[in-house]
Amino acid sequence: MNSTPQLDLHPDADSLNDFIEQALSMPEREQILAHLAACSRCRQVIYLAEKAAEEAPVLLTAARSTKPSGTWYGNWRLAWLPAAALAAALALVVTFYPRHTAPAPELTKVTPERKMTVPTPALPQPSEDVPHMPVPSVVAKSTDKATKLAPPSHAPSSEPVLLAAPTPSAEPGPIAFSYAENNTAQSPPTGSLHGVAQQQTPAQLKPETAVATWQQQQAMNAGTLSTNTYATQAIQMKMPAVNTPHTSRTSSFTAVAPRMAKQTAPTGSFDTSMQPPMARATASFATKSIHLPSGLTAISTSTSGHRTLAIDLAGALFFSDDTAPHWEQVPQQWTGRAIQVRVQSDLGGAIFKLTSDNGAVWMSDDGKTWTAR
Amino acid sequence: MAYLEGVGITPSQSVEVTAVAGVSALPESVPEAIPEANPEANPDTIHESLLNALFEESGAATYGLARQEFTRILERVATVQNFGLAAGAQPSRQQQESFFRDLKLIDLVLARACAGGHEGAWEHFLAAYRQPLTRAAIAITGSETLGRDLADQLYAELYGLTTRDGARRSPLDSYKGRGSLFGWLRTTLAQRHVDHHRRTHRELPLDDPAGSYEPPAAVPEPVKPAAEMQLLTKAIEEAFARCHAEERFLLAAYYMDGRTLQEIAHVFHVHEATVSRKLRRVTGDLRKQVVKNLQASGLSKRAAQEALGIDPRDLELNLKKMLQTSSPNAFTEKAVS
Repeated sequence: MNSTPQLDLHPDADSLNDFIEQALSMPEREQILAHLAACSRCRQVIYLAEKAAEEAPVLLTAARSTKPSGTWYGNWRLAWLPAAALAAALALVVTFYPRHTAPAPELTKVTPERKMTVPTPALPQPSEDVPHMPVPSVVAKSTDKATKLAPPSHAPSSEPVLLAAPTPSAEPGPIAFSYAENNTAQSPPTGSLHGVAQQQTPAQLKPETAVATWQQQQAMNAGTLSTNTYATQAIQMKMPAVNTPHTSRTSSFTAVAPRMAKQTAPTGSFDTSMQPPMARATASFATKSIHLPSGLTAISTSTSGHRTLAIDLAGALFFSDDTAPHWEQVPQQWTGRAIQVRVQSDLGGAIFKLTSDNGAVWMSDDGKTWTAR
Repeated sequence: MAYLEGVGITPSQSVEVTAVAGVSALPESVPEAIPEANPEANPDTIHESLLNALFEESGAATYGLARQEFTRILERVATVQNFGLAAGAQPSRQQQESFFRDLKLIDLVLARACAGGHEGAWEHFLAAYRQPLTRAAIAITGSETLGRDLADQLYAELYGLTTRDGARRSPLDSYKGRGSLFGWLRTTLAQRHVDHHRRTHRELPLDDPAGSYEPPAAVPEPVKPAAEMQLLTKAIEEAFARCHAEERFLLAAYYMDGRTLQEIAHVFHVHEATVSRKLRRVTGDLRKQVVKNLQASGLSKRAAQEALGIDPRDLELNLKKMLQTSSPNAFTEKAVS
């Protein structure tokens, strides 16, 4: 190229392409640059060639991707993706569905057993043929044990008593056990309620909420509530307390609760959770067979040997020397209204303790003569 | 063919090379220059083993090219370009060998075989380049229709439908193998398109409404004395004359063509930040040089600074002409890989 600009002379396509691809030597490149600085036509050629080099590969790729499939099933290629996903989802459902539903049969097994695991019916029923004296101790032991072990073999004999008894004086043991059962329904199946009950913590088994609920109901309704209503409310009140450490089980537990209520209601108790196990067992036994002369329901009973004491809803105290068949009312020697009678056998001999509604405690050796403590 | 015939371009016209620098002539330009072979750069001195290796590498035998013909192609390519050296430079054996090894021998042989009418070569060429070339033409023209038309015209031209002196002429014969064949095809397409545009955009429609005529803007009166204007013009011209080639190209591309930094960076294969720094440095140096020239002309520094505040429209400068002065320094920024 001459040093004098000659704009009619342009580098050929080969030289311009060599410049673009940096294939020129330094002197050649300098000559092309000098021409490009003055020649808008060649600059434009360079820009367009660069643009084509950038865009053509992309267009080629796009053209390749839009090439129609040569096979008849090529158009179904995209349809395989959702179909495969659906098949995979179905396979997962089929695989995992039995595992999720496995506890359901276990629940159906557990639910009927609740009738059988109520501790009160598990005890030997007081009858005319059976001596009454050893019963309380035996009952106390077996009841306390039933709270944990719940032998289901005694269930048939308990059911009529449970459904028939309208008395609210019930034991907390079965209710506490019902917690265990409810939790059992949600826990992995172990095949035994016994084992499940042992897994529960004392806090979970404690029926404090039920006791408070019962005391309130008892004070308000004075025995007018039906057993089922009480039990349902009591258990429903208890559920949050029981499930607090296991909130994830709440929904299942609630579903089970109504069925549980019918079976455990009669055994509910309002204050026995705070008493020694023996006293609780005694009261449980007595309330199921007592028919007081006043015709009112006994709210608290206690037995020591052949002597039995019972307090009715009116606060009257009755004494029986033949283990319940015959009663005589004890004259009131205490202030306030009697609400509770218990036996304390750890004082060198059986001694009765009466508690009035004003909190006063009265003691008696024979159940008839009471002195303030 | 209508595309090229409308433009008035024949296949051989725009791709003929001139001596040394490979400058082609447009139809209306100067007559073709005949390449002058450098007598000192004799390809016969190519080592036999190297020639054998190049022949094997090129795959010339695939297209029926004999070794003698292959050697003749290399001789012509090397002679026309003087082994990539400046005109008159004497290449050493190592430079010759390096030049031959840098050639795109496969593309070169394919182009020559196509130009010679080898059917197998054409089949391979069409399979490899037809689709990409059409896409490149569409990208260049920005139109599917124009792009396909442009590509078809080039194909016809490459096939040698144009004859000169009774012989078929193919532009592929001018491909020299230093760059890629596809790059050469892209650049050829761009040349065709630019030439077509530069010819046709001047053809204004005659049915313009009379009301659309706008009188030329009034020429503002110069506010500076004529002597100061002359000094400033001279100082600017001298400053531009000292610019390097790539600096002038940079200024022209950015300020005259309005190209973006990215576009310019692609041309130089550098990062656009490099172009930006380069532009800032060039304009700063140019301004300093103008002030220095004005001071050399007898103006004080303050007067020279004030002279730069003159409205450029008041100056009678031909920037295009000033940018044509060459300087032998190259773009030395490291290329971005």
